Amino acid sequence: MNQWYKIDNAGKMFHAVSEQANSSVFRISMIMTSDVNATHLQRALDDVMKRLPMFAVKLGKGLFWDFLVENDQKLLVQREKRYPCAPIDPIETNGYLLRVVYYNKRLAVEFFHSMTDGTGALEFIKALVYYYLIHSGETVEHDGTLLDIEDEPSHYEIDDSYQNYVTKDKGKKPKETHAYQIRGEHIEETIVVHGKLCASDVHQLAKSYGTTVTAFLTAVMIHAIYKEKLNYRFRKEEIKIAIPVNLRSFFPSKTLRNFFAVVNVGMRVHDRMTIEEIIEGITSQLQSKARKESLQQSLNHHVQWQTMLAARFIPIFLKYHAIRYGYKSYGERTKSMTLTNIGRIELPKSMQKYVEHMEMVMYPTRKSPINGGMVAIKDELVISFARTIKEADLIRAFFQELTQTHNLNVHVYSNDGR
Amino acid sequence: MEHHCSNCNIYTTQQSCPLCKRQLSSEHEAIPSYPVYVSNLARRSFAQRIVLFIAIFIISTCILINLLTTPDELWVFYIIGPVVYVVLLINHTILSRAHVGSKLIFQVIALSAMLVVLDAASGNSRWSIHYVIPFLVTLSTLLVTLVVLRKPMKWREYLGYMLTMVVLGFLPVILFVSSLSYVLWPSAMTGLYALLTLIGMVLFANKSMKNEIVRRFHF
Repeated sequence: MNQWYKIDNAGKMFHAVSEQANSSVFRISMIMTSDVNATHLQRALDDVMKRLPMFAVKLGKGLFWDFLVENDQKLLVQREKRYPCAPIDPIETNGYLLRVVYYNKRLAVEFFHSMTDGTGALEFIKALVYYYLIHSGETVEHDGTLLDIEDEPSHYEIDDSYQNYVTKDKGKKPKETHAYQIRGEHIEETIVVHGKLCASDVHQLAKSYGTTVTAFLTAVMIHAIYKEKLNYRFRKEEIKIAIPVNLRSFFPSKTLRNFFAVVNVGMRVHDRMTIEEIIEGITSQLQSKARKESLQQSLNHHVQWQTMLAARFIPIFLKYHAIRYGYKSYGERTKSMTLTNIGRIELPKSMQKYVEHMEMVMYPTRKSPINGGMVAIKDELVISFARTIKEADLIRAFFQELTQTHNLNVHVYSNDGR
Repeated sequence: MEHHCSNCNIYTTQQSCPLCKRQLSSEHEAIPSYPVYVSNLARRSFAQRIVLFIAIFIISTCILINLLTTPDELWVFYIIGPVVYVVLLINHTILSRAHVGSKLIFQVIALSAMLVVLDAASGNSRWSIHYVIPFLVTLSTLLVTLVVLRKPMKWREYLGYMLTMVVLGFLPVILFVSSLSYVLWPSAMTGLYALLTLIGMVLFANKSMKNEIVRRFHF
């Protein structure tokens, strides 16, 4: 039990800021075509954990930084009994920082964000579902796109790619202004609402506006927030959406740990603004912010403070206080909502018929009490909103805009109102 | 079966619309997509709340009686110290799921604090600082060492606590240097004991302990 890992650059932040109302736990699920069998799932999990030792870890406490250390206990699959993205209690998970849950047809993994990001979690669930199908006696073929348990773990998979790509170029970081903050009556449990749409219809629609699915849906959300919250207000605050960007698309990396950046896009909407204008604005902002040069700067800034010699020797509890303060006063206040799109997922052909659709649930936080996640597989696009406030008006307005203005068919389901 | 909510213009198989809560059907959904949750809120257990309430009751009553009867003589501190200590003893040491090492350190700190309060209330002769705190720190360092020796498999878990105890071992020396304490031998003894524990740890450390120290102190 000697293997240990430093927590990657982004991961450190999640340890500092997570609390009951900000679990830093995200969920990726695959909805299978038949009910999930717990025994087969457990066998598949045992296989996958052997192949991915960087996930078979527990948290260790250090003086200057916490770390992840090999966990020799067993990670058990659980029948879903708590709300999505609930904080991970190490006692409940034998020290692991992830959980694997199932309920009827849903097979879900929930990761504490310090372990990995959407890409890492995706690789994990794809492999898990593959081996689950194998243990269930289905004939599925490995086409080389999935993790193979026969392969040795690669050191590229445990890279802290932030450190690999950091440069000395400091540049000037543009000052982020405060954004409109969504408020509502706080509730203890996370409510998720999923809207299932035809992926190609949304793609066509976005294309007809000359933009991408992410930019289009972000613009629709901004419009919905404006209509529901700021239309009849004197002060038209800026509505900004935080969009996580996968840095692997810009800086080649095979890491399964965190490697993403967040770009904030948004605007001050006014009465006569049309959806077309919002889409145009968001598209151009995304194009300029999600460029290698700007992402390099954001990466550099991110790594910088942690590598400052003075900061490194400050005991961790003080550092955590500082990070929490920065996060609450700057990070959280510069966005109204996070909207993450992990894209269209490709599975080997032989696996596709066993999967109906997928879900990506992004945990809400205290200052950002509604967050959205989307994922597409085959021709099913699912947009999921997780919230810790009672009011569903924004989510309703968002889906209404899609159905009424854009004539899309939306199938909605939720863990609320049953 | 799929229902249409004309209010929100969406489709759903749920009994009521997930967005506006209007009832769309009288029948339950055939295969629910989510379970009914078991509430698992991290709240203080009932027992812990009772203990806390009793403590507040005792302390507030005593403060009132003390102020009404003998305001010149504040005997209430003799009650507050032990009552607060008992609350911590029951709610943390006995009822919480914290690690044994952290419970031990917590005990050392809580006991020391209570005795300092009692000492100050009874004329401030500083017996707590002179003798009891050094003795307590030495004893608990010895206890952690014994646990580690008895369960060598568990030393990794206890290393952090042992190091904390070593650091605490130098506290009486600091108290002496800062003139809060003026009896040298207990403080010196505790400091020496902490130093010996540290030297022992370094001398008998094998590779994996060195590895553990490296990861705990990586920066």
